[in-house]
Amino acid sequence: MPHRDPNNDKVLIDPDKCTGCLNCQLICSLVYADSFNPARARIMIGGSQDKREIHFTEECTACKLCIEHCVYGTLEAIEEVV
Amino acid sequence: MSGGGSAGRIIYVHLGSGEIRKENLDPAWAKRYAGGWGINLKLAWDLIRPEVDPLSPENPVIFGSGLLVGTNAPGASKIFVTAKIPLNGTVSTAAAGGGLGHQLKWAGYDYLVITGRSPEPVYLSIQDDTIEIRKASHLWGLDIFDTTDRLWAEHGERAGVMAIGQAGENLGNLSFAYVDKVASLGKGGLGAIMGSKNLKAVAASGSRGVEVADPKGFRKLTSRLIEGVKNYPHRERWMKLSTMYSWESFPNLTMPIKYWSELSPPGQANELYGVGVLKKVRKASVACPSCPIACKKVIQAQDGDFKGFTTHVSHFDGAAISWGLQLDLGDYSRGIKLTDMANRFGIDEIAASDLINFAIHLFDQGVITERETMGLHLKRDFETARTLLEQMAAKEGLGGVLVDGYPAAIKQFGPRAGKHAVQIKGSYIVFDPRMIFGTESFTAIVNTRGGAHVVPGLGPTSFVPGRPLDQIKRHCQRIGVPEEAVTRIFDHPDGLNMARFTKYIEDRFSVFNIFGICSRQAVAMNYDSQTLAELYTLATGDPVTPDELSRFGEMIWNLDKMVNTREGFNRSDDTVPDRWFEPLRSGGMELVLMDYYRRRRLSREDMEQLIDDYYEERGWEVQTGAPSPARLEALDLGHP
Repeated sequence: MPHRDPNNDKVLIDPDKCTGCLNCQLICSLVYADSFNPARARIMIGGSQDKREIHFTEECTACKLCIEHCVYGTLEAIEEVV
Repeated sequence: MSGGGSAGRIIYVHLGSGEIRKENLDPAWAKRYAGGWGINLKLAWDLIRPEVDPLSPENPVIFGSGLLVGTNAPGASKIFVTAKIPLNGTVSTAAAGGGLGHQLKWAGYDYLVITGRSPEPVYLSIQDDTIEIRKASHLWGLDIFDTTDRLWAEHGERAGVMAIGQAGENLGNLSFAYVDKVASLGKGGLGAIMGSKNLKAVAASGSRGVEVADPKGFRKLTSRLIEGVKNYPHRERWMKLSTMYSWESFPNLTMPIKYWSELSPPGQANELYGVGVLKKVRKASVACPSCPIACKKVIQAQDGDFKGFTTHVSHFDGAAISWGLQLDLGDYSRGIKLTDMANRFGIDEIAASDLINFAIHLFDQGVITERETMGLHLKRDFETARTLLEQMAAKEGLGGVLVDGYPAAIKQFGPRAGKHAVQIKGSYIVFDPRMIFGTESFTAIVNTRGGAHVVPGLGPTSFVPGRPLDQIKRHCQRIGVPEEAVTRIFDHPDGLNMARFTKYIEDRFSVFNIFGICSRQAVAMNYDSQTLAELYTLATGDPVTPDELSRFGEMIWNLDKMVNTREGFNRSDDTVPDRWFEPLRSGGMELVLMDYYRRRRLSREDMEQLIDDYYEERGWEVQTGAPSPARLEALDLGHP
């Protein structure tokens, strides 16, 4: 089921679409930790191959890079209603 | 920064003494052998002795991550293993996706060399700087999936896990390892090599990360590549159908059956085991890290004897073709069950199905009887396949012979059986050239590993018959084939000299193997020679041109040949099976071996001429098949 994470409420997460490619973690860690290093990414991908779990760390600034680099539609920006 | 992309270190493990040594990668190696498969082969050249037995403690097994593995370059996920394999004694390289290559890199290592034999079952644990040989008595005897689950429970599901099953423990030559339950590694007996070392598994996880020389430039280029993949119009179909992508293009799809002697009725393969079935059973898609197409699947049978049965697969073709179609199962769920059994046992299912088919064929022809089958009445059905697969894993009975592959089976059943065998260098063959004579069929003859070759997916001639010449010429341009070679390739009565063309497809694959980029079409098509050169430059900080990169590719293919020439392999091993010159029959129709455009029938003499052409294009000695000293000097391989 799509859900939000308390550390980043600007993203709707649909874990059922996640394939575990880690592209979100790779770009996040490159930009914020200067190396490709999922262990230091601000988005966490866990769970099993047929049931993924996705969360954000407290350091997440909701920059949306992960959304841009997700090719599976797992992460969707939530438009703010003005 | 120079040397980016690489972690810069090699681990040497001796399982006998327990010594674990970490060494810095010689920077000169990166400049000379590039990375990935290239450095695997340098290590093989230095460490694999010609007289060493594949299953002896002294035989090293060499693992290496591709140069871009660990980064976000789309589809750069391959780990390579190079070893002298027990199936045929070749020094063979295989590749797998999954997360092991990335985790090894993120832990701070590019390469892992394992020698020796542990006195007791062990597994290797790599967690950043902590590398340990740990007891595996609790894992020995378990199948691959259970072993992987246990190690994930111990190391966390982030870990990359490569494990062997019972077939490897029992030293069967068709055994391989499996990475993260979705990627096979090491056809021809990696499982047995690990089993002979009492090495059940390798589990790696890393948190050091990997850097590139120009992060901004690299990010810009990979973002462009990712955007390109997203917009690729056939991507959705690739993701859904994976290796069955092209099946829907052939509504009357037919395939060789009954051990390469007949064609299946048009449409039958697809109807019983094909696209509609895959759509129905697909439960989840699994991507290797960085991959945009997620071709690995978790599947669940929706009908049949094994309704509800769930498993993980590298591809669905095994259940569909190797088991369903070839063993005439009639029920796709039985194919899924056999795929699961083979993967858990750690047996190459394509090889297992082929060898079982071979035995059934010999039985039908009266070449072997119930004396040789040890009481089994062989026929194409589920029970025969299941029984033989179980025997293969346990190395007992007839299955115990078949699990050592064609060389062992022919030795056991005699030369009459050998005449029926459809194999090259002791290995089964994936593609029948009577269907399409493309680069994948031709490289099966000449590549060092044998019929189950190392060049999947990259040839535009591989799955589609009769592509227009203009299209193939454009492909040549895109992948950087030199002008003079283009002339040689296309100045041929067949329109296209498949032998000469194969050389350049192989070299392109070599370049992919530097980087660890997957060769699946939907990934590979994003990488032209210019893009690859830019990626290399941005990652390493060492500028390279597309031509220089192509030369690396050719150099690596030659180094692979040199290693195997040193093992004693020569032209006489580059054989063409007799069966290819006989017709495939279907109803009243016959399909014979013809050139790619099906203009003329090819004889054995024609095939030998093509092998001559291939050697000539490579600069190899036509008589022996060995690389010529002049070519080796030109490639700076005079003294590897």
